[in-house]
Amino acid sequence: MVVLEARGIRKHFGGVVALSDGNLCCRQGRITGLLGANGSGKSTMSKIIAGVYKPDGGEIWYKGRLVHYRNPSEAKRDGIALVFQNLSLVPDLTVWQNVVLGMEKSRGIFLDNQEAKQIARDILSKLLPGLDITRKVYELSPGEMQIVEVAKAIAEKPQLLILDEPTAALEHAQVKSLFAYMRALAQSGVAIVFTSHRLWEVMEICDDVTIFRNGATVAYIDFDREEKDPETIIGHITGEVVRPLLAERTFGEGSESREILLRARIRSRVKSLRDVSLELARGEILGIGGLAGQGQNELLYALAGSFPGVQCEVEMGGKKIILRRPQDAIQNGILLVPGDRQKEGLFLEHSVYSNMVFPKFGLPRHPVVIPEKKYRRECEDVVRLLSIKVSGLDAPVSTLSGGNQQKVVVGKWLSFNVKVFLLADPAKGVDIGAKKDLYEYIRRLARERGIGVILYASDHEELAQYADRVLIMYEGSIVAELTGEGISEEAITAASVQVR
Amino acid sequence: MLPCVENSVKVRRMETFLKKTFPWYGWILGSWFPMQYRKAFTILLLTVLLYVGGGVIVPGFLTLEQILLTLKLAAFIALFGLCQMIVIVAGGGGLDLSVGYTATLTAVLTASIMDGRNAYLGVALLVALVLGLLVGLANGALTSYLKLPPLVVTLAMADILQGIVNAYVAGKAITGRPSPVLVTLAARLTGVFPNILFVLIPVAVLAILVFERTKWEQILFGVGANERTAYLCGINVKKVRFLTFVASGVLASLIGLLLLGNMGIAFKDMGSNYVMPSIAAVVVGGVPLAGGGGSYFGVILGSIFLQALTNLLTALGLGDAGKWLGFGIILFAMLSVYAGNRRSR
Repeated sequence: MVVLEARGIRKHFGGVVALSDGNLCCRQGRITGLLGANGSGKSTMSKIIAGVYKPDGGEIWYKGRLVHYRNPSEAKRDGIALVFQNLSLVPDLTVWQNVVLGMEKSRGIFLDNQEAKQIARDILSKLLPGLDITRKVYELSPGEMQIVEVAKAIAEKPQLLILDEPTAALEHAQVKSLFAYMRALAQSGVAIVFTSHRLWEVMEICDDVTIFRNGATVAYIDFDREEKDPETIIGHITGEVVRPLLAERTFGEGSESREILLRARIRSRVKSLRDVSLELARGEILGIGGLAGQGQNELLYALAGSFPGVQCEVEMGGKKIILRRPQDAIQNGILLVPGDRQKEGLFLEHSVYSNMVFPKFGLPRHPVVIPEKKYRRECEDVVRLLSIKVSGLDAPVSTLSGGNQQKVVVGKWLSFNVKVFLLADPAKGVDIGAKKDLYEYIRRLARERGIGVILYASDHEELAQYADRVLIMYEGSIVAELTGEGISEEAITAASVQVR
Repeated sequence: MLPCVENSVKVRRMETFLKKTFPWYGWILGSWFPMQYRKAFTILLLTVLLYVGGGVIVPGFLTLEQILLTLKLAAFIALFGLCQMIVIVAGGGGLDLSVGYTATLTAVLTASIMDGRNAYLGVALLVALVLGLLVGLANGALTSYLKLPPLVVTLAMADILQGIVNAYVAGKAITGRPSPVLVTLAARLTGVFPNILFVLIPVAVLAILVFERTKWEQILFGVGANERTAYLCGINVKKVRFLTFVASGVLASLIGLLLLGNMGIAFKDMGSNYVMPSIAAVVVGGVPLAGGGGSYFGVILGSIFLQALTNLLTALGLGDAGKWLGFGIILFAMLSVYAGNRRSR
């Protein structure tokens, strides 16, 4: 039975067309995958259905009725629940309080906390066994928060559940239990819409997929009738036929050619990171893997001299340097591309130009007057080199898509004498096409200019594809090392969970 | 140029508002007007409207003398506005409520030192510099390094300074006069042209150049827009914010000398009246209170607008009460236009 059908949905923001022809059909008991590059309109579509945005045109039929929701609470009343990408939890409340927030049961004038706790316990025991529901939300890891977010939506007993990239912050085991729960939910008759950048997840869980490109629905594939072919799907997403990617690991074969670029020793007094030491060779891409939140980000901060409380001593070119502040790392060519580009890598409201030239001003002895013409030429070169899609250097970075924003974060360091690039999950929230661009560029940089790269990726597929050597982290320490032929997605995942 | 890019959305919002209210506005602006100056242009237009309207209601309001008088009084608001803007753009809830009080203390102390003699102007300058530096260092250290909220720190500083002034003048009349040079500079006219503008214009040109062409601007705006990003780019965020308070303190203290020159005598409330207008000018001038953007040109225009409004309300016989009422209403109006844009996003 068709629960929801949206036809010819149109939506524009200012002069930007987000959706030109969006179509979606959700059936009872089925999980529909929503696929598309960043900015293809799939998030807009989800939000229109859930009443967050009003469409400019088109019609939405929900349970045989034409609906026009003015706000999310109207949609919620009808049984449509949306789980946001960015978290909407209240950090200072406990897990169970968050789950039942907005639907408090009352007994007389008092809230019925016992029943509320029971509801939360029922849902979470299946989604994330072992989570203490009396913990405060701010104590949770990002993955756990995301699960609580999902639990909150489920607690409202929706008939249509829209999950917008729920797995981005989750580790492998959590994804598995989420999927099991989604399947059970679907079997009980709920229609589910699921979006994700990870193709394998969609292939695994969805019954059918709807693919968006440039604001329009371009394909609908029903897995009951058609076979699950990743290349066809990628072809629809990018609009071109993509040849299968092959891992190219020509590096590090002859160990005699290995020239050590950096030796780092980290002494830590914080809980999230233990004492760690590592070596990095010239031209090497060193992958950091493991479950989410095991100290990978902290390790990169420490190496960038940006983790107060952690002492990091590096040896580069026979010189011992103690990294006390970001400046120490930057001056020695150790440059960080942080994981959260919007909060840590960019000035969203400032122009592309401002963002790109900013790191130069941290250097001592930078002239007071900015040589603007020279810098603009440099910026234009970087824009061309990384093929950043932007209307002009003065466009605010917030108007760029995720992938192009990430390129700006990488691009701002390119005028420096890069020796070591620290990349924290650079492909998070970046669409498939731009992801490939970015990684290929980084690989070229490593091979041609002899730059050492330390890459943390939450997606093990990316590590398997691009890393020459992979270190697995668990609870702040390095617990395993994979090299050469031993690197594969399965091996990385296996090594990550084995330590449990 | 750059500081204004981030405000373009707000500008557009304000323009839509104005276009609806005044149909000819869109025609004047056309598409040739550079985006970054549109906000400033809008404030200018509001000021002109105020004068034309005032000229109709109050005869003799729209004369050259009146306009130049407005500019002279607005110059002081604009100078205090510069202190305020430097602190505000660096973000972190920055605000300096002590500027007027620093100026008062400087004026009171230097009046007795100079006592109408040019020879002691150097000493007075030195005293002003040291005093401003002390106040700025204290404000900066407490806010940046001890992480106390700027609002509370500078408020406390304001009270302490006022306390010192009150203790200093307790039981005796404040003696002393400014040196003639200061009087000439701050109070006199050249023909019809107020001399204070010879101070304001170079200061403004310098400030605008600093805010458009130098790395300081980029660093200040970066720290204001996103301190984490700035930190990871190797900027010492604490030091930058510390220095903004030092700059504000020193500037405020020097303005105290000009204020003394303008008034001819020192009295205990001479500077405090400028604190609120200086913040209002920054808001009206389009600098976001959260920091990270804005232009000094806008702040100057904001000061002129506010002073013109004060003059009109005074001319209408509403006096001090009317002035504050007008300020309040304008602040509400401007903030809701700016905030409305944030809501609609």
